[in-house]
Amino acid sequence: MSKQVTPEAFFDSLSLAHKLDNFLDGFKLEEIHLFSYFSSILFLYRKNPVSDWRYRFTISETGYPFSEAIFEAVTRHQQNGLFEDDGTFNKITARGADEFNKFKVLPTFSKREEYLTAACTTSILVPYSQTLRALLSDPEIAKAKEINNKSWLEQSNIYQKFDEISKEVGVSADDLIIPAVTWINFINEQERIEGK
Amino acid sequence: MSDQLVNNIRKENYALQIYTAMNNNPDVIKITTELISFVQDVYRSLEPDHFEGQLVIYTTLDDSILLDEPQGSGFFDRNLLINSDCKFLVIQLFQTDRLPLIWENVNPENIFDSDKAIIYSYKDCEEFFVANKTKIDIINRFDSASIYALQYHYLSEALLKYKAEKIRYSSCTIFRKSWFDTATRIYFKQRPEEIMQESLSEFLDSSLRGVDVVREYNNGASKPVDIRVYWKEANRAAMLELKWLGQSKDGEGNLSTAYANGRGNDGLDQVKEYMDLENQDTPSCITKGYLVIIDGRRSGVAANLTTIDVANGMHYRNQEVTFNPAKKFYDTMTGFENPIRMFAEPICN
Repeated sequence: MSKQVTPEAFFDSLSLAHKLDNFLDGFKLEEIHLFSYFSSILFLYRKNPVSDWRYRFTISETGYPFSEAIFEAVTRHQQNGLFEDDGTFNKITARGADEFNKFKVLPTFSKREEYLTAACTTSILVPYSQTLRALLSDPEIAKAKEINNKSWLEQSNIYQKFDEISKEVGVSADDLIIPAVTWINFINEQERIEGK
Repeated sequence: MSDQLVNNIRKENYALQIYTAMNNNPDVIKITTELISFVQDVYRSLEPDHFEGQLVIYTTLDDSILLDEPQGSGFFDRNLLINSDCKFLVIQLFQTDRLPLIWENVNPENIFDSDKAIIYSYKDCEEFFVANKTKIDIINRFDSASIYALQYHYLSEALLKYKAEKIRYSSCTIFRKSWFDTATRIYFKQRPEEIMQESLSEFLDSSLRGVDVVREYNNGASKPVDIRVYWKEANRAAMLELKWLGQSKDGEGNLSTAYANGRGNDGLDQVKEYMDLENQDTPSCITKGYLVIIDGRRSGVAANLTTIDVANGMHYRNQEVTFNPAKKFYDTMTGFENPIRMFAEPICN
């Protein structure tokens, strides 16, 4: 009998695929890792302990965050026909969408939906190429890429900066979508100032 | 953080600005997200770059209707929007389970005075929100009429990327096969267009989301379209005609076909023919035409060159193709994009 994948990674990857496919007309597998990482930062922003996210990230060779738990879950979804490979981009199948709708009402998972939704909603509110560029230039990812570091990414370092910027811009702490967009605009603005 | 940085961050956070304008009403964030998502959905069927009227999409906090309801109708068929020539197109989105309402040619100026409305407006490449009578300008950094309709922007971006990263130094492994002499890149092989088409179509297929990329698409023109990109969920298509300039050699190493500046004019004629036919036969699809010119021209090319110096090899690097003024359809025809020339550099001694 094969071992079960991490339940949170199983759900998160399904939920993110459902949202990204809907918003962007297809997704790359590495984008599941990226948006899951961004969701975990939002999770911390709400003062939840990082360990409660249940899985962690390193940096991949392509410069994206990478989680072994997400990788295993995505592989399982592909094997079970929940994701379908459409060349470079993937789609969630009708079975995958049904599976997501079945799991999202379970209390363990439903509380994660708020973070996953806020992370993906940025792709509606900000043109996707800007969102992608910003998320991949996140200071923790940039640092890990620069020193070719294979250790865990530390979301708590990001969270402090995230919190500070949200306060300066005047964001309500109750909401997650506006801080998420603020964070993306902050990174893009910094990149513009630095002339990248 | 400097005040300027804070201001810049706020300026492009439209959800935050609308939230502030609506007196920090927490419901506004969700409503704004739904409004923007709906705007994007409308733009799947309406290309702002081709639309000459004013588009207004709004919602109100209490679902009150701000225009004369009997003049409007329930909006469910997106085909209504395709190639619309209305002077005003107004759509109201509701919070409750109710079909959006659409008004054609009803002037919406009164709704901008409402303190309950969140409004998106587009006209002549200018777009903005109005929330509680506060105008919030949308900053557009893209090669596109609206930041919420970026299909063609992403295509243009992909073509520029292809030019810089794949063609300039022949970095694409498929495109590299179009050279007769890969070590110097002075001559193309005979009939290199098939390889070029394959290279570009593979690149576009892996760069763009939600598209079908088809080679040798037959739309009834005198020749099939080299590449057709079709957005599966957006009623958009692009016809790409690929032309090459330079000298080719046959399998034995004899000089074969050569194309110079005038070849570009042939390409313009072809794109026009494709677009005329496509607009006539599939009016429900928004189509743009592109001429892509792969420029491998070298100066002083004789039959048996094995090396080339910088002066001759790079002679045409910055020399744009000159087109016959009567064929500059891209200046007059909606959807006909400016030609894109991609210079493929040789390896000079």
